[in-house]
Amino acid sequence: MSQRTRKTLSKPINVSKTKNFQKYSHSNTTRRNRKYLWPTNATAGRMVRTEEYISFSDGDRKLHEYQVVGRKLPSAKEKVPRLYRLRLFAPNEVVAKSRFWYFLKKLKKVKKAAGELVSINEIFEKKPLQIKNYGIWLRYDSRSELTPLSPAVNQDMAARHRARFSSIQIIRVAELTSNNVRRPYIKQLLVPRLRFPLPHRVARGNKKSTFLAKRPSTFY
Amino acid sequence: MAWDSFHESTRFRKGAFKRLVEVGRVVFLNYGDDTGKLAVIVDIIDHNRALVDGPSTGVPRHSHPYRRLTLTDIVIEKFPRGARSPTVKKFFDNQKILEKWNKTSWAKKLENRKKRASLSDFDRFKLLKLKKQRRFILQKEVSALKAKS
Repeated sequence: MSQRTRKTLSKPINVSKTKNFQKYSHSNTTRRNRKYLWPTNATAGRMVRTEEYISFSDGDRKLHEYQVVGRKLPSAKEKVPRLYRLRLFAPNEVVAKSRFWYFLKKLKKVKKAAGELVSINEIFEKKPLQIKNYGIWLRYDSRSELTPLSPAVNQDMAARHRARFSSIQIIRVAELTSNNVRRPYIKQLLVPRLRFPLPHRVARGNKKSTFLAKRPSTFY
Repeated sequence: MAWDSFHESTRFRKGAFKRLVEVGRVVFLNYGDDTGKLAVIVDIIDHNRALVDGPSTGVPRHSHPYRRLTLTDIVIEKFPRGARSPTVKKFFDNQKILEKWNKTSWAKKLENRKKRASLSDFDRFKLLKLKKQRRFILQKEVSALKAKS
């Protein structure tokens, strides 16, 4: 496993580099859009003890956190359209862009046909080598109705509710203090000087053989 | 049984299980890039994975599942939870963990296995000869003792 060498984004939006947007200073952008900012301040990673797993697992299916900025196309009426920024979770940039328009359409009178993307960048975990407890607030389209959950009820939305990515909307992801942890299986891990045995294990070597001359010892 | 009471129970303390997942436990990685290397559990992520680090043994700090490691008998004493790599190195080296490990029969067995694997055909022949010599001496002594008694 390679060491993770991701860098944290110091600047939230890289507006100055984008075409046609030289006139927007960085601070200006953030101020304008603050009220549309989604209060997510965390991202998923390997070191994360998430309360809810929405395929926040290793591998390709991991969700990434993106910051997407877009606006309406400038018109004679509105020469300097307002910028909108969303922080959202998606498996890749393409989906992130799509989700951006999906959400923005619902929030504001802006749609893709008459709008443009200003920037998109991934937000990385600040301290990937430290273990944290994350809570994920989400709403999802259950079999019977749209249910806003806060924090969401179950560990694995896909497993327990058969909820797909398309029917889940992440509202907020935030690091939790230990007294805010709700799930009992995470609470178990908050015991000071935690230790536990691994009973009944088959020690695996690098060479795995289906057939062995000796019965393996499972005492550990 | 509630976890806390399990945790504190005397039966547990006395050691029904010899090796526990705990911060400071030295582990032997048996899968992945770092197969065959030692690392230390720095923090417990969940019931399946721990954060391990082995700056003295060339293991990068990463999350490792329990099923892909084996716990050893060695525990680093007074190891601070979530210690960063330089601290891990300090504790690992100060308490001479590698020396301790090399003394265990487990490590010796691994070492032997490695040695055997690296032998050439001629080396194996020499080994055979030496073994024969040893057997000869041994059996001579044994038969002499038998004759005496």
